[in-house]
Amino acid sequence: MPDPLLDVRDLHVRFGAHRSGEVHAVRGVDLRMAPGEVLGLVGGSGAGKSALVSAVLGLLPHGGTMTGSVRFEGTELVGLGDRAFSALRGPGLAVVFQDSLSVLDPVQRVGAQVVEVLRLHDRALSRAAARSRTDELFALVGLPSGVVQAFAHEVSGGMRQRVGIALAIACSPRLLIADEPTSALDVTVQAQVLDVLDRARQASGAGLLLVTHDLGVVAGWTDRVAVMHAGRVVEQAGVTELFEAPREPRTVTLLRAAPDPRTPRHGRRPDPGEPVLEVTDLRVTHRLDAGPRRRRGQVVAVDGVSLTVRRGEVLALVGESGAGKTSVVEQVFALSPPREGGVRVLGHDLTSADRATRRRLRGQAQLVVQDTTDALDPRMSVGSAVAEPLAVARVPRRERRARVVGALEAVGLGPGLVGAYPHELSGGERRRVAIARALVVRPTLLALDEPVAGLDVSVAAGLLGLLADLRDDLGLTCLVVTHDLAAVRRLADRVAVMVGGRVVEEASTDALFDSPAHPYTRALLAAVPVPDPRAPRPVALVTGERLWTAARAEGCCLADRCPLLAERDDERERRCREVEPGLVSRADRTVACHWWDLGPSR
Amino acid sequence: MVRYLGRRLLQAVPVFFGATLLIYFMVFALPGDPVLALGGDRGISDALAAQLREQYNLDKPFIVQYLLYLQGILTGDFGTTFAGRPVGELIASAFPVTFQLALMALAFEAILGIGAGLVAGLRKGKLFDATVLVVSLLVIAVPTFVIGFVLQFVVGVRWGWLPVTVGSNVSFTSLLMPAMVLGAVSFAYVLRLTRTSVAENLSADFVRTATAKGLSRRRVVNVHVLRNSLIPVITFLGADLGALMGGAIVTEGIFNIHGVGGTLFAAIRQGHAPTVVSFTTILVIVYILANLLVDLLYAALDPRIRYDD
Repeated sequence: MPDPLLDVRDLHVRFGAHRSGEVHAVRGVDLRMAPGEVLGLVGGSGAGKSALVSAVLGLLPHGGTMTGSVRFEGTELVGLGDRAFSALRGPGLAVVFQDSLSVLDPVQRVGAQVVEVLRLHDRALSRAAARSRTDELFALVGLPSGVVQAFAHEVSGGMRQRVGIALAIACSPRLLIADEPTSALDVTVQAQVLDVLDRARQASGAGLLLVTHDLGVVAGWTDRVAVMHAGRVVEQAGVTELFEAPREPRTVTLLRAAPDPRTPRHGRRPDPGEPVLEVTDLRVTHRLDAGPRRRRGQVVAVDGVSLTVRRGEVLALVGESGAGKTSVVEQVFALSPPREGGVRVLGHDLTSADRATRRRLRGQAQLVVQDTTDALDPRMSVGSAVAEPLAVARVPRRERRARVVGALEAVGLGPGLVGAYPHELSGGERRRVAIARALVVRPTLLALDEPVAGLDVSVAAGLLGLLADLRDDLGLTCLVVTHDLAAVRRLADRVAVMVGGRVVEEASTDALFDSPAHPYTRALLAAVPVPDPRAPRPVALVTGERLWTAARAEGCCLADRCPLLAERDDERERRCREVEPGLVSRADRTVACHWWDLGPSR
Repeated sequence: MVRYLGRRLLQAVPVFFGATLLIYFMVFALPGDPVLALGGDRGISDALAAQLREQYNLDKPFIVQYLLYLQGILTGDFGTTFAGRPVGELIASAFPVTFQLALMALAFEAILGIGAGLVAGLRKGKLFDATVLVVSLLVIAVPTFVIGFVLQFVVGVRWGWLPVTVGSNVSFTSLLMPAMVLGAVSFAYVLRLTRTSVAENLSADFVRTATAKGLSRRRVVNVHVLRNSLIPVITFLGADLGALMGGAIVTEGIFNIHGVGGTLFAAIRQGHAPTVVSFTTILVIVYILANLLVDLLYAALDPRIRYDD
């Protein structure tokens, strides 16, 4: 066996938060990686994955201490001096962090940040040589050359992550650590970024430690997997072996919670009742004030969307970020007259509804927003936050407590939480509280914006189960906005796929998953990671991302990125670019593509 | 950028007229008759009073007085004081001293405040940080005149290191102590602002990225932390320049500096509108320019901010 690249033995990490006592985050981890190997590190939140990674990188936050041994190519890292460690970071160890707006310095051009690391580790490198090397790196990770001059806030999340990868591989490290590199990204972008990471790894021959909570990602991209729980590695095995014959109960639990988009949903489909929400030809535009490059104008977020949600039905709205999903929901639940198009809620046309009608509708149409951390007033207890809508609805005071407890019970929370404050709750509990707050007024129509985004696999699984139960028990009519296709498969009766502000395909959930018709839907499904190492690795058929553009697409909104483009002759391509495809309905399915008749591509 | 500058400068024009009109009116509306007050206890003859009123346009209606004053300003004549001294001369003697004092105070609070704030932010929770926080709290809590008199007595009288008063001897050394007193309170604020900002940026994701790139601590701090931390501090310093110039009255009193504060105070007591209005208007213009400078610096430091033109 060759010398290990990374050899972690009996590593302990403790955080000594004063007064509140010591937190023992990593409790004796043993881990070995061979050169060039791809090791997946999985586990729920709080399992100690991030603490382990920080310790290996010597980036433990203030108050963190580590004991034990971490050897990198034979060099002991525990107790290594600051200067020696700095010299090792970059050419030896490099890291790609989870995407966030502030992962890159906001006040320096992204190219300059790559030049900085190149020149730091190779003092002989001239500025011009460093620049041209940066251009090469950007080309390698698939960034357009203009991005070198951009600032972090001017590029999309996927592009920022590519810059992050360019930064990490700039000095050809022997060990690349990626800490949840794609958790904040769409599936299509995720597939692209992971491919870039894989390509970059192969180009430099580096080992890759891929930290993630997504078992689909692990199944698609790693050789070996280590499962962490409560600060320990509970199981290590080859990826196929682990998925097919897990030995530890923790691994089994984790695998069982992993959402699989291939499982059809069980249970009855309700008979569609009368329409509860009707959206016709809705357009939403956002004003753009002196944005990047001082272009002024407007962004067309929603471009002629029509949707119908019938009583007792769950409609999912899916699509990449920037597709306009949230804009649709915001416009509808503002309950204000739309500027263009029509919205009817429970039979009332919002364009002509008076104040009293809108007020009444407010109690019947409820929205659970995406960021539930910000959605709860930090100074209001759970009980008063959930009770507040009851006061607005003029429910007598003595009935309120029972209603609040009932609503909390419905989302699986005990009455003990009534007096708790939002910061005392976990992410999953906060989301449940937000749902309880919406349910307490007994709404007819409930909209959920990204209900499971950012949650741990097992927490998300629990929440999805809860939502499925609520759907069945209360007969709720739901509009679910998400880019998580496994969640869609579990919850929705029908799915509408959005790209570039338009709906391109609408069908029943099983029909859509089993035989996607629109090229974008196919691309979306092909990019979903599946927790099965034998399944084909997710691919990004649609590359690129939709960026905010002031101009409205003339023809098909996918024209520039369509996977079918290569198969088309010039004449057909021109038609895609110039003529907007209309929605065509056939047998419970609606598709907007000029070439639907030609059947799926082979 | 040029358009933005032009628009901002154009905005200053209505501010100039508005400020002069408002201040002129406030002086006009002050109770008491400035001419009678000139006579003091001995009184003044009716003939002389009438002559003075005519000479200083005090017999005319408010709006005429104001327009005559404006006319004077536009032709370079700021009027004369009751003592017969041209106001222009007062401006020329008072403003340079005060301006020098304010700039020295600004430099003092910027250099020491940012320096100490940076060190405190980097060593949050350590001894240096705690000491500096207590000292800054003391400085904020103790009134300026107390700090002024104590420094004057200890440094000037007891130890004899620096001149006790300024008077007509305006120099860097003589203004050093007054500048420190004037900048003391703002120094404490700059320090606390920098400290908080640095401590916050130290735990930002991009600083972690910079460390992971293999940058030395010194480079991480100098290149990535400092520039990001200075953005709020610069805003404070710019707004402070105007306050330092107009608010130096106590310090000028303690150290006998013939600057803007003292002159303005005297003119208000005399009800001499041309002096009050001219001085205040210049302060307003300084304020506008300082703010413009801050906005430009702001965008230079932070690319996320764009001029709205």
